[in-house]
Amino acid sequence: LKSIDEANQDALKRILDGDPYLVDVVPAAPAIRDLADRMILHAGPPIGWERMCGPLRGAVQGIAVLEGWAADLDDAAAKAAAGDYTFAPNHHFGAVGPMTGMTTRSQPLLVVENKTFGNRAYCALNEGLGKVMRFGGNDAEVLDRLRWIARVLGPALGRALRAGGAIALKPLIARGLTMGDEMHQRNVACSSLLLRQLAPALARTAQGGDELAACLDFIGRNDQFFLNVAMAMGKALTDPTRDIAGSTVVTAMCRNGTDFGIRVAGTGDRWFTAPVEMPVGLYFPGFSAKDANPDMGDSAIVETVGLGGFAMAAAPAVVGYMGAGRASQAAAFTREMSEIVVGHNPAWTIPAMDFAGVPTGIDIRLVVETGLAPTINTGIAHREPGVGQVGAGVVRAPLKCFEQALVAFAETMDIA
Amino acid sequence: MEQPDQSRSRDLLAATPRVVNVGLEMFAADLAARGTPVVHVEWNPPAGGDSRLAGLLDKLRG
Repeated sequence: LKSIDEANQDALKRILDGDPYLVDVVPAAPAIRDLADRMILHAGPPIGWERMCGPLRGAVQGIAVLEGWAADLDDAAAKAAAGDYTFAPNHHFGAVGPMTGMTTRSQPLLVVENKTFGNRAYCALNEGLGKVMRFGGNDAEVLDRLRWIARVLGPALGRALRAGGAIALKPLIARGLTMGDEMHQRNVACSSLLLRQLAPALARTAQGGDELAACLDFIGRNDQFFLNVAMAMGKALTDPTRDIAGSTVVTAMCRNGTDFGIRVAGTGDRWFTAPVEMPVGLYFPGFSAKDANPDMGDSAIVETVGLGGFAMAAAPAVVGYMGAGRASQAAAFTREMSEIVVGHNPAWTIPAMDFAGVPTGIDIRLVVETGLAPTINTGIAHREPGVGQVGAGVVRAPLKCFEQALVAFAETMDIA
Repeated sequence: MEQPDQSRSRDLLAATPRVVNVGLEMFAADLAARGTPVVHVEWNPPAGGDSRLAGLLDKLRG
């Protein structure tokens, strides 16, 4: 019988051995088997309409109209309340989604394949900043942009990837860390590096110069375009660790705006949930903390693989953007997270920390023992439906999730 | 029985204290504000002092 430490080393090795590639962009159906008509996948652990926060309800209303499942937003809300739609977490379908995390049949999805283990993970394309569906936006401008993504951008990216070949993400992330990205709230370098690799194949396969220009312009103006790629990559890296008996390593962290949920390797696909925390950060002009919705999104999957708040030392500029202190304090976040992990990733290193690897493999025992909850870098949505992003900041995972998981894990080991 | 070294005790009382503070940071901050050299060590009881969780952690080592 393996010890817990040995099982945790196995989990860490599976994460570190993963070799993720961006291989395609395809419509959610039929890529995700069992994604049925009138089924809406959302971020975070399971939740029903009655407990959903404002922006999540706003996104559900918008996506229902977009899919043609409701005449308008009011009709969508009535149908959702009446139980006409089936809700399920992205994580139950091999997918992730930022903030509200809407995934439905017609959405084009990024496909990341972990070549070491052969598994695939999915995430929708990034819509840009401001009034967008992932932050609860749902007006005509938001829906028109999503229609263009489904009709033009998604198919164009899919053609380019199939023609130009899959893009290796491990070295791309390594490069991004040396260029000031932490892959959650700063993706400037990785978005640029990705576009640099995609552009020739995009040009060769585009249906005309106007389409090519529109795609290049959309990606080029969106500093966060790579976030969704990083998220699908995080899911593809952690899924092979989802069922390792005797391991206390966290395999997923996510939030739906009401509940925060974690999964642990030794307890399989069971969720451990607690109320989400409120991010502390900076707000766009005209907004303040009283407008903010609590923590939301599947994007904490990047922290689960050692990026985002765990790699803060690589991205001093993001500390200022999020109001998390002085740039010189960036390394303190990474050092603190080093206290709650099984090891470090030698493939993803941080120059400002003498090329130390990013802290990887969160151990629930260390979180409970030290009281140091994982630090997550995040966008902040307006608490009302339909408004969009109002800021960015830092939030902690609730300790209660880890305490519950520890008790449940002990039961699997016949310890009480 | 060995007697305590009284000269060292006198030195301790006469010299400026050098302090290592463990746990509550406010003690260190107060000393620092008065100009006393102090090194603060962050420390919390395991599991925030929750004896049930601390007991489980003891059994889940290794």
